[in-house]
Amino acid sequence: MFVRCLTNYSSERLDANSQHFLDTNIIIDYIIPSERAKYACSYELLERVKKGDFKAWSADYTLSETLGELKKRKEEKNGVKDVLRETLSTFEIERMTRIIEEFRKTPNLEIFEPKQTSQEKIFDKVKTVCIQATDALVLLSVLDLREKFGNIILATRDGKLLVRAKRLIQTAHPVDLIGSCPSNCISKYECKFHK
Amino acid sequence: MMFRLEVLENINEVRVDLTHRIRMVTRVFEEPYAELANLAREIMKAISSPQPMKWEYVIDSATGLKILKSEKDPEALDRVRQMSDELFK
Repeated sequence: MFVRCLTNYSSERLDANSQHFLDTNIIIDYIIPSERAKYACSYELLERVKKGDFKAWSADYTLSETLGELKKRKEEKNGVKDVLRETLSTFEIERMTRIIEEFRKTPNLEIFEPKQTSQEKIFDKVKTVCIQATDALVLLSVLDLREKFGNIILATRDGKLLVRAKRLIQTAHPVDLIGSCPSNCISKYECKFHK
Repeated sequence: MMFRLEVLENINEVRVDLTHRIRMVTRVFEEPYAELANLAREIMKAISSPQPMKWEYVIDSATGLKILKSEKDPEALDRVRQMSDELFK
């Protein structure tokens, strides 16, 4: 089953008129400088959203997830390990909040509040699709959007979600949407989605 | 005795007058600095207490979706990169 999914994944064509749901990892790739250099495909995708080549969506909780990830990365950069109290300065936290606030202003990117999700639905997706609970929330949000638009693609760089969620919704790695890997992206030996 | 009292009274008058004059002179210098100090306190307060992020939603009439309200700006992503570069350098 897993092998079949992988085979289908590469052969399927993407509809040019479809809309896209951006997963948190793509937003993180764009914001954090080291990730931006490493995954130029995510950077390119968001730049093309800005230009109007793609219409993109994301959910409001992804902004919270992004802020959490930024705080984690900053703590790691500051060399903080196993400290059970707040260590980032007010200035640093204020900066991160500003980053999120500015990100919300990206043209052609709408952030929506998904329908309230019951634990039963999350549990069901975790059980049937074999994904993590946070990914199940992403998947349910995309399914929610599909009810409105019909044609929606989940854009993510998470390999497992990319393949497993394909059973329920169309998924795509950023490189599938932009066409080919940017010249400054990581090599084909490091990235299995290299094109 | 009378003479001593007069002298003491004069000394007291001079002391009061001198104190008054010193206060007047110091006030001339203190007032602008006091204003600056207040201004500095206000700036520090603004920097140290982050403004709460507003989460306002609007209902999209076409889809019925609850969308986060934000003014779109083509320069926004440039500012994101700039702030992030400074923070994570």
